[in-house]
Parts: sequence; C-alpha cells; structure tokens
Amino acid sequence: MEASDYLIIDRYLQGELPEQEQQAFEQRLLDDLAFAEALRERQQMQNYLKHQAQRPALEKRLADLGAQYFQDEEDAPSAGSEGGAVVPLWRRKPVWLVAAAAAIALILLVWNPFQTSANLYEQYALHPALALQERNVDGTSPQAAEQAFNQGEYETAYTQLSALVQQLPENPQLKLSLGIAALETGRTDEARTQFEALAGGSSALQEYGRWYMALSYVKTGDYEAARPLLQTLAGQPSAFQQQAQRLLQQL
Amino acid sequence: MTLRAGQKQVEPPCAHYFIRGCRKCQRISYNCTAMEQHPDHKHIQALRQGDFSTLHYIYREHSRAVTQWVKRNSGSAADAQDVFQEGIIALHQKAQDPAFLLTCPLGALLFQICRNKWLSQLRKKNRETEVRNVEAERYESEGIVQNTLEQIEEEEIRQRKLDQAFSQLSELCQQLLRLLASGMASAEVAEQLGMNNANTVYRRKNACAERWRNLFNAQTA
Repeated sequence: MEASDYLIIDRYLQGELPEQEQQAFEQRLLDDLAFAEALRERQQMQNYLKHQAQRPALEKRLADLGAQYFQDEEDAPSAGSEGGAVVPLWRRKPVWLVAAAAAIALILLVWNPFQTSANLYEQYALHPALALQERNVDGTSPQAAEQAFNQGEYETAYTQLSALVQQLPENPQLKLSLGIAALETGRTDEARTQFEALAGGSSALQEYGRWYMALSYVKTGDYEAARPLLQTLAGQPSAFQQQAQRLLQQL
Repeated sequence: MTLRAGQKQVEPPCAHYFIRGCRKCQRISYNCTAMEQHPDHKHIQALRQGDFSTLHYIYREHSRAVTQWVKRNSGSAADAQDVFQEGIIALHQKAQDPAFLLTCPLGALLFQICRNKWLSQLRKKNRETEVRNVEAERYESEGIVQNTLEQIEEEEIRQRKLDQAFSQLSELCQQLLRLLASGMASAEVAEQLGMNNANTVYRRKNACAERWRNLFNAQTA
C-alpha cells in the first residue's frame, strides 16, 4: 500500500470522494484484495475512534438511566422468581391511568352526574357590568367599587357597594350590583332583599330583579321557588325570556 | 428454528419470548437471514449519530428482562445494571460500523449480549455449578439473534484490542488520530498540534495509523 492509497481510503471514509472516483474505488475493492483489507482496517480504526469520542457522553447517560431504572428495581419488592413478574399497579406504565381518565371524562361529558345547583347557577350567572353615573360620592370611590365588581372581586365590591348604597339609596343599578355581590359572597338573604326591592319596584331593572331572584334560588338548589319566577319571565317578552325558558328546561 | 430465504419477517417481536418458560411466542418465527432492516434499527442509527435520546426507551423496555434473568442466576440488580450498561456500550461500538444493519429485534439481541456477559463473569468466578445450570436452559430465541450477536461480540473484542494498541501510541499520535476522527479539518489539526500544514498532518497520520496497525497485529498474533 502506497501513502496515496491511504489518502484515497481516508477521503472515501470521510465521504469526500467525488462520484466518478467512487466508482473506480469500489471497482478496485473487488479486484485488489490488499486494498480492500486496508480499507477494512482503516474503517475499524475509525469505528473505534468514533466510539471513543462519544463514550464519555454515553457513559454519563447510562449512569443516569441505570440509576433511574435499576435503583427502582432494588427498592421494589422482589419480582416474581418464575416467569412474569408481579408489577404493582403504581409502578406500571401509566397507560391505564390515561385510559381510565379518558373514560371518566367521556362519561361525565355525556351523563353529567354533577349537574348541581352550583354549576347550573354558574352557567347563567353572567353579571352585567356596573357603570355608575355618579363620579363624586363622599367617602367612597364609585370607581373602585366598579372596578372590583367588574373584575369579579365580589368581597371587595360588596364592602364598597354597601357603603355607596348608604349614600345613594335610590340607585337601582347600585342595588342590583350589591345584590349580585352579596349573592356571590354567600349573603343570600341580603341579596334577595335587594332583588326583591328591584322586582317590586318600577325601575328599568325590574326584570333583573326577578331574574336574579330566580337565580338566587337556583344557586341554593331551591328549584321549586325558582320555577314560578322563571315561568313569569319566560311567558312575556323581556331581556331574560329565552334564558328563563332554557333554564326552566334544565331544572 | 428453521428460516427460509425470502420468508417475511414477523413484526412486532413478542416481548415475552426471551422469558424462560414463556410459551406465548413459540410460534413466532423470524427471518434474520434475509438481511431486512428491523424497525429497531433506528436505535442503532441514533447511537451512530451520538443521539442518546432513545436510550431511555431501551432501558424502559428491556432492562426488566435482563434484571430478572441475572437475579435468577446468582446476580444482583447492580450486576444486572453493569451488564446492561456494557451491553449498550457494545451496541454503540458496533453501531459505528456504517455497514451494520440490525435485522433482528433489539431487545432479544441485547438480552443475549447481557446474558453472555453475565455467563462469562460467572465463569471467571469459577462458579461452574451455576454456569452448568444456566447452560441447561434452552432459549428458543437464540437462533434469531445468533449471527448478529457474534458480530457484536467480535466488534467488542476487536475494539478492546484496538484500545490496548492505541494506548501504546505516542501522545501526539493519539491526539492527531482523535482530532481527525472528530471531523476536524486537517489545516485546523495542523494548527492545533503545531504542524506545518495539512500535508504534514496526513503524513503523520499515516505513520501513526501504521504503527497502530502493527501494534494491533502483534497483539493478535
């Protein structure tokens, strides 16, 4: 073997041989046994060197995986000595868990056993935003109350709206919002007082009063009390007619 | 097991077929003589490219069978971990051969590699009785992987000898060969090792490789 032969072999191993030369190269491998043997040796050397280059990274990875998969084995109760091992449920592949979860989700989707008053209420409790006309009220900031209410911070809203109602007792919008805040924070009786006042009054929010009164009964699961209120709403044209009809069907 | 040429390879491999006494997979036959690429070859390709991301899959799927077998044959889980690691290293060595094509299921092959490693350790410890007991077992799957197993083991022995010969080379030769194998350009290698130019690198490389070859052959003889 000449030095030039090894040069060609090196270029072949690096994949640097042009296509025309490659054909001649492969033909020579068939004709020249010593040349083929030289290629085989160089290839084996290269295999060794490539393996060695990757070996530190490989060993690190193997150590990590070994700790993960064989340490478990050590801790676990000894596996069955003949044939198949008994794998505890919690060490099995989580496939069954995923399947079970999917099955449960499907069942819940089709047949919802948790159709409770709470989530029925949630479906319909889409509260109107509070936008007060008043901008200057002594002691309490209407803006802060608005903000708290519109962001769903009903506890804060309740406190501030309660103070505002003292200042503006005749504002129906304020009454409604205070009622909603009270309802959302579990002050049901107080909420109903506000809704009742609205429903019995003659303001533009009369229907809101009836609707929210009905909703408050839905929330507490008192469907028998909710039903007549909803039937009234469903029977005449109003902003809540369709909602009331739908809700009645679900009760 | 009789394998006829052109027989279709059965896929997927049965996960139980290397478990002693398992009768589930007796009827499954494989054909490794047709030299068709097995789907598990993707793991060999990953190892070849230095991509170790699929190894966790190999551990998850195949470590249990090896552990159980080693434990049944006077070994511990730590012994199993060692032979399993050596088995993967052996696969990685053979994976560097671009001509190597995996034609049988990886799990069965790995199991046999690990099994042979543990047997040879038992022999070294002169625990003849245990070895005899193990040898008495009949593995239906042996024929499936035998050819590939031999290739892997040959490569392992060859690389061990290459390693011994390599360690006898000069420090400069070792560096030169390593850098060139890592894909570094000759000009860059020349600069790093303080050589004149790429031609010097080639000349030195040839000399080093020749020396390495002679050391290797002297060892084999």
